[in-house]
Amino acid sequence: MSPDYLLTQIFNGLASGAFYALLALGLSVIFGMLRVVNFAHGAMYMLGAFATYYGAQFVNARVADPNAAQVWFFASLLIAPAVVGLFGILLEVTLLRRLYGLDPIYSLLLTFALVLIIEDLMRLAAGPLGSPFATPPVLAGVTNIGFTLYPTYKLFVIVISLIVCALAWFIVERTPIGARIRAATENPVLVRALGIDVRRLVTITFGVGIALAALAGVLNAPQTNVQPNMGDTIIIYTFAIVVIGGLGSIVGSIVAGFALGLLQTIGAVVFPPISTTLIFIVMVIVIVFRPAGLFGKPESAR
Amino acid sequence: MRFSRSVPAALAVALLSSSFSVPPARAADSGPIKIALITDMSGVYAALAGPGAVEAVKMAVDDFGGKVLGRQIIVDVVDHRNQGPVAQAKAREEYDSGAELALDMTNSATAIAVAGVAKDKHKLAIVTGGASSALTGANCNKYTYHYAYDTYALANSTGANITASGGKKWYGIVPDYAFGAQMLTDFTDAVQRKGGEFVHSDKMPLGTTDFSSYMIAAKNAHPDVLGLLNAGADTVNSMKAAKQFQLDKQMKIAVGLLFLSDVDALPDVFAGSRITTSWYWNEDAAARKWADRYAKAMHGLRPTDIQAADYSATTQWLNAVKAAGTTDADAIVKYLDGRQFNDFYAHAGEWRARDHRVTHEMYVVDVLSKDKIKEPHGWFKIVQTIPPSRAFRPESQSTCKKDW
Repeated sequence: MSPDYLLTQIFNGLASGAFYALLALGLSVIFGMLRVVNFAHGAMYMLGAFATYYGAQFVNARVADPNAAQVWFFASLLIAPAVVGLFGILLEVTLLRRLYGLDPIYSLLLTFALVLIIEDLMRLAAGPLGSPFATPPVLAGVTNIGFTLYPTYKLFVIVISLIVCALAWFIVERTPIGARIRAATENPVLVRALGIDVRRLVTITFGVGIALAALAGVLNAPQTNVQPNMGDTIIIYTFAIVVIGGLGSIVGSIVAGFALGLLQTIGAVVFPPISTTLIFIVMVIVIVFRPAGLFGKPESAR
Repeated sequence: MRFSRSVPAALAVALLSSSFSVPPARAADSGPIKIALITDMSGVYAALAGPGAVEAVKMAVDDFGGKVLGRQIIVDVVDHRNQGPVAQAKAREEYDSGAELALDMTNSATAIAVAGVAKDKHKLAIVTGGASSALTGANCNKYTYHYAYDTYALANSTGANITASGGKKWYGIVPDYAFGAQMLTDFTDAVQRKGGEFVHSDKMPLGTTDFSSYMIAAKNAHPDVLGLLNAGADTVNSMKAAKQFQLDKQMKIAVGLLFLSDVDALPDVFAGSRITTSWYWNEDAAARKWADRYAKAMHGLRPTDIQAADYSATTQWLNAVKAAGTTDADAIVKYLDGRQFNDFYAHAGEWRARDHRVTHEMYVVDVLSKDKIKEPHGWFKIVQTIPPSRAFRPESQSTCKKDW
């Protein structure tokens, strides 16, 4: 295995890790704040991809300029997550909120039901046939990164993901609102006693977590076929990654997301049949030796 | 969430099949005649068979008048979820509750599973969607016909052609299940016959989302040809990745199996590919006439060769039932074996008695680019017609141990 080859594969690992990190981050933030295991995360990821796809259809039908689709793609990096995030907030306010006091199994069942409903509705609306989505021309080529020519789009994905992850970390760890979020995660009753509207904080956090999933969907739209079951496989890996990183830990999700993207890619080179299982093997080992995950605090230490 | 959803489904299937299987329903010969359409309704192959296959079979039944032997014909649609065990349990349930024919079985694992049930139950199965040539080889049986195409035919045409024109070193991208294994075996044989070889092949799970690492590995191996020996969404995603890493600039990309629906999904990506298909909707006036009716019912979509094969197979089977005067599988097999036929789908068709391969013409087609097509979905241009005798595995080389 030549060094160039290995380096290229490392970039591939980072590119797939970028998706895992974004998804795991959202899932983890939601769990930290709401104590809800959001099964519908994959469906939100899929909705993000469809939002950008339908947006592109809408723009193409009205604006003749071929550049419009490209402009829309960059705009949809903000618009699609905002729209899907608002949809998430709607779900939180109307449905999820009612289940906070109950056994976690209820919210789990609710979000699982949402997956089935949302996916089947999308299947009805868009059909099972994948919808094509082209890479924006500016990012379609390859870039010379010294040792190899690498798809520009994948570099773009890595950069965006790193920026968003860094931003999320900064907001939660270094800003006043982040301090409130952390405090509300630790002890919601005490925080409420200090006059902070925890309920609103919860709603916003849920919306942001969903928006992150939708962003991952937008970013992946040009790389795969946009289709209703696109969230199915990736969400299972994401759950494993969140468990490995430590439920509720931001840094843990980001690090584990990228690390497991790398592991999967290298695994695919060394022994392809194991590549998809590798994450679960790591998960089992982590659960045995560090039940709270690599970066998680044990429940008793909270 | 495929696996978690399938657990309750599998339990339900297990319960149903055990409770229904007690009396082997010898429904009175006046009740309806049931066809079980076992297909992928929502997964990676739903676009090339799925709802379109349902429409095609219903059209066939309607065109036949909705009745045969004075009995009403009903079609039961079964979603096999791309899982062999699900298909097996459902097929058993269908046969036990009176189905006389199982049809489609897109996905080789489900096709092989259903063929086994057909053999046990002495009921007929006609595979259109599943591709594995094992269905008329190691897994052949009296009650299963393989109707549309198979991995041997694809390899023999696409694989041999590309090798003969200079692509000697092949690198295979193969899905890790029955279809992929057979595809690789048949392509390896065809490539070797023309003096080429497979330098390496990567097996990956059905529905792999990220093909990047395999593409880099392939690029690094410097083959002449990258063989995408997969199907449906896997083909689309791996082709996209291959183009993203510009493998198409360094080597030939051979697409083992491509459906019209794949090109519909990503026209730009597949333009310029040369592939093999069993039928094309605009191949002649008869095909077109049927495709127009299909399009009317399916919001303008054009049928894939699998969907056309489903219509054709249904009609041929109903003709056989009518002629034989019974739905009894042994009598139908006796009637069909060796019989030659022609319809809008199968040209110079024959129900080969030796191994139950249904042979007919196959076509080598070029995929046109967007600016070259004359009408929507008109992606293919036929460049060569392969006669039945050359398209499929010759009888003399059949590996089917005929035990009936």
